[in-house]
Amino acid sequence: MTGCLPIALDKATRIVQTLLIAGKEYIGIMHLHKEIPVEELQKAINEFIGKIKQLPPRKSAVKRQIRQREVYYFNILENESKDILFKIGCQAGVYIRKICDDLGHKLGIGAHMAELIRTKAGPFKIEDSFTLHDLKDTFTLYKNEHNEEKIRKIILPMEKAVDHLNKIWVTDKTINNLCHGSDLFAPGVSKLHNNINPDELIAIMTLKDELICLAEAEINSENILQKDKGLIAKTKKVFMERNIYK
Amino acid sequence: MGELLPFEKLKKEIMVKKEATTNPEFGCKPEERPVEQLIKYGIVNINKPSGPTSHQVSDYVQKILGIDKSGHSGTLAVKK
Repeated sequence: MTGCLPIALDKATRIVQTLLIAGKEYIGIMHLHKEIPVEELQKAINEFIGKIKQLPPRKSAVKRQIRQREVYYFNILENESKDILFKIGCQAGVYIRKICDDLGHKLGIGAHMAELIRTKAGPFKIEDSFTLHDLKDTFTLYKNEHNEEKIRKIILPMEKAVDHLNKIWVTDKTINNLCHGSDLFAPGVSKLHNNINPDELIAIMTLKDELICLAEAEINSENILQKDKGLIAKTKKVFMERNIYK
Repeated sequence: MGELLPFEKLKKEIMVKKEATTNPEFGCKPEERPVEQLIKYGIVNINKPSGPTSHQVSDYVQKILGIDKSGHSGTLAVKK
C-alpha cells in the first residue's frame, strides 16, 4: 500500500496516538472475478456503509474476532468491466482488503483488492504530503544554505496532529502544573470548543496555540463553561517541556 | 457525494469561559518555532512509496533528520 503516512518526530513521537484512532480515507481498485451490472454492485456496496461487522484477516496484528467498525462513505469513482475504482472513508481499524473479499462473497462472484492508496489519515491529506526525496533535499538545503523556507513547509508543528480533536485553552498560570502531570481544574480554563463530551480525548492548548498535553474530558462543554471549581480533564500524555512558562 | 469524515463535518465553535492574555516572554507560537525546535516537536506528512514498509520509511526519516525517535500513524501494509 502507498499514500499518506504522517510520521511524528522525536519528542512528538507519541502524538501518533491521536492519528491511530482517527478516521481514514482510501482510494483503491477492486477486481471483480466476473462482470456484473454496476447497479447491482452499487446496491451491494451500499450494504457496506454504516456499522459493519468484520473479522480481521488471518495475517493481521490484532486478535481474530469479529468486531464492529463504521464505514462513513463508499463510492464508485470509475468502472471498467471487472475493475472498480472506489473511494472509502472509514473508522480506524477497517480492513479494506477484507471489505473487497466480503463484497465479492456477497455478490457470489468473488472479488479482491488490487491497489490501495491512503488519501487521508485524520487531518492529513495525500495532496499535502511530501516524498522522502523532498524531505532529504529540503533538509540538505537547510543544513548547507540555512534556507528555512522550504523545510518549514514540510516539517509541521506537532499541533497539526490535533487539528481534528476538540480543545481547551488554559491560562499561563496553569501550564506548568499540566507539564508536571497535574489534571486540569476549572479555574485554569480560558476557552473551549463547544462539542466536548465526557471521556473524549481532547487537546489542552496554551493561548499561543501550543500543545501542552492530551487529556480525557471529565464533563461536557456546557458544564465546563458553568463550573467554578472541580475536575475538567484528566491529563494523559504531556508534550510540552517543563518550566517554559514560569 | 458527502465525502467527509465525521470530524470534518463537525462545526467547531470556540466558547470563552474567562478572558485571559498570555505573556509574550514565555513560549512561542508553533509557526514561529526555530527549525531545531520544529524538528524536535514536529510531524511530516510522507507520501509512502510502495517498496519499503511503514517502519522502514519511519527509519529513513530519522536518518535524514538525524533524530533517534519517530513514530508512524498505522501501518500501510506492503503489497504481497
